[in-house]
Amino acid sequence: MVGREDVRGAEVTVQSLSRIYPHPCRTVALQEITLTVRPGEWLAIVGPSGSGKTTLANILGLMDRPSSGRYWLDGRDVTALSDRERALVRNRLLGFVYQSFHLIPTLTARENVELPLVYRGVPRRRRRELAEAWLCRLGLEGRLHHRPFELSGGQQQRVALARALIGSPRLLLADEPTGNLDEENARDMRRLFSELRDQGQTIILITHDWALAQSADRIARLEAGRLVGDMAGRTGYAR
Amino acid sequence: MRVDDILVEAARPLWRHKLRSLLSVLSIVMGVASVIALMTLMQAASQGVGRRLDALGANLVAVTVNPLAASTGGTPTLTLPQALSLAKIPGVAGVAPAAYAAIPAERAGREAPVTVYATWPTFTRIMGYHVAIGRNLSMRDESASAALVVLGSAAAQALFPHDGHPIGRTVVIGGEPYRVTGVLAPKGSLFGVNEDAVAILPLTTYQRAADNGSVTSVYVQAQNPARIRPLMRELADKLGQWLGPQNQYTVVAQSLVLGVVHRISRLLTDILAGVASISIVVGGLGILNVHLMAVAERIREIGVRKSVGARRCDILVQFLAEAVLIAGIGGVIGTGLGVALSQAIGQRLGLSVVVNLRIVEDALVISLLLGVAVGLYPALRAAALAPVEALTFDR
Ligand SMILES: Nc1ncnc2c1ncn2[C@@H]1O[C@H](COP(=O)(O)OP(=O)(O)OP(=O)(O)O)[C@@H](O)[C@H]1O
Ligand SMILES: [Mg+2]
Repeated sequence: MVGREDVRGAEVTVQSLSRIYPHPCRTVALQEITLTVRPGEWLAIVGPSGSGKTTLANILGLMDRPSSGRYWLDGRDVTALSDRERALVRNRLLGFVYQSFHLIPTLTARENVELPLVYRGVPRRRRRELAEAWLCRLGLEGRLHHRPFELSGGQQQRVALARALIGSPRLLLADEPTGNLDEENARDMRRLFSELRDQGQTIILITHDWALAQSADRIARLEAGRLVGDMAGRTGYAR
Repeated sequence: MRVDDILVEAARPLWRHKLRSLLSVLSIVMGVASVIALMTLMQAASQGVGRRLDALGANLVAVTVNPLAASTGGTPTLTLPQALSLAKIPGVAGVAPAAYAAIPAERAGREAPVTVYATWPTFTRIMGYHVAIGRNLSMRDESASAALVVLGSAAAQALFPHDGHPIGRTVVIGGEPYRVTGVLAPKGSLFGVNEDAVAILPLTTYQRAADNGSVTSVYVQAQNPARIRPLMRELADKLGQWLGPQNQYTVVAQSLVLGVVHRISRLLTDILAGVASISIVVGGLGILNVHLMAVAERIREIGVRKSVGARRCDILVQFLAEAVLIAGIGGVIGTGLGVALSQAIGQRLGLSVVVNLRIVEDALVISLLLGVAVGLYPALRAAALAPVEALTFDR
């Protein structure tokens, strides 16, 4: 991924974060999570199914609100922002990659990638240039006008990654990005995340993929909504 | 979001679901076209009545002795001097005393049903007739009791079907021969009475032939159409003095009768417009259903858009624009179709149709408002979805 200027990664801090689902029966999905991710750090979150990983990612991605606790993004308290302000933060500061890609099926690869810039009011021509540049960097130069169903899973996930990165986010969130990919595509993803981290991107990655988790700077483990372990990844850094 | 992006996002699903969009557009087209066609045609029809009113002379008042009252014997009918004295009432521009009878006119074995007016030469002008060929009767014919007749165009056509020039020929009315001096231009029919099936004779000629010196009607021309009601009251007063109780005579202003017809046709226009509006509402309900479905189908898309930063208003505008676009396209096509339909039907009915820009304007505004009305609720629902819930929504 050549040619990307250095990124100023965000600092993420959460304190005593809890999330209780009242329906269909009261479930404590997250309990008193306290966590700091330093600028430019790659944190992997692992844990068994149902431990609250996706719930945490959705709260960190400002897609959901915690039941209690505080959340600071780059020192700014984003816990109590209005819906409108949260949309703005998602648009300007966050990039999100999901296990099931979440591409819009009626849009082409390039149009999907452009989407964050549409809501930023960037002129069409500039958007196209950026989207094409990102798709090319991710090896999809021949797939600009394909629709998602005309792409393989690995290609779809790279389109989704391009969409997450086109707005130069300060924090990249990924929820099982390799969950639907084969070994080879998963390895590509791993390489891409390493490059992003090397450029200074703050990354929070949720995964079952142990090899992927090990590439991170740090691995946190969730169990039944609690943070039970926080250890160094391959780079050897730990708190 | 930029305006061009809003339009592109609104147009994209229309293009994708062509059949669905086509049906939605069609239902608006039908509603708008039928409203425009109905309104335009009804307006043309009532304008036709209005024009007829002017042609007839908006200032004509007919004074008629009730024929039943007259035949019961007791009361004498109007005399010529009485009839002529009506001309002295202020506001009267002219009078034509007349007697009339429905007797056939004959010629060479042909018979034409005509209304015979035995009257003064002023009659043609007061009634709004024009002499097409030959000449009108004159006061000299009147005083000489000349055996002359002026035929209405239909009467002339029936009696001289193969002969374009009846002037100078003789027709027989009530057993007496009359020489044709003039033929009137066609005037059309009113309330089913063919005003061209007439034969006009000098009053004295008829009175002598019928051995009856009375006058049954006086056609009065008012100077000012706006002053017709007070004039009618004065005429009624005079007749009351001469003839006694009210049921012996009638005083009718043709303009007032036509005014009622005019009002009825306007009322009909309103009723039809209401009926046509219902078809627009029905179309709107269909589209509402389509929009609700479209939103339900695209909940995940809404979640994706929110996750990359779409605000509530962005989603709202996107879905609203889609609805307004459908209604707008339907409105424009419907307007075109409505105009074309009203021209075509108007031509068949022989109405002169002028498309009223107000109607077109209203139809377009209404269809756009309809788009907003039916688009708003689904769009609001789409916009209100919580981001995670929309994103993970499972059909
Ligand atoms: N929308 C929801 N409503 C109610 N309960 C929920 C909802 N989403 C998640 N939960 C519950 O919260 C708990 C945590 O779910 P979560 O999806 O965060 O787990 P996860 O760690 O992502 O699991 P997996 O690895 O299988 O994706 C689970 O017990 C789940 O049943
Ligand atoms: Mg999960």
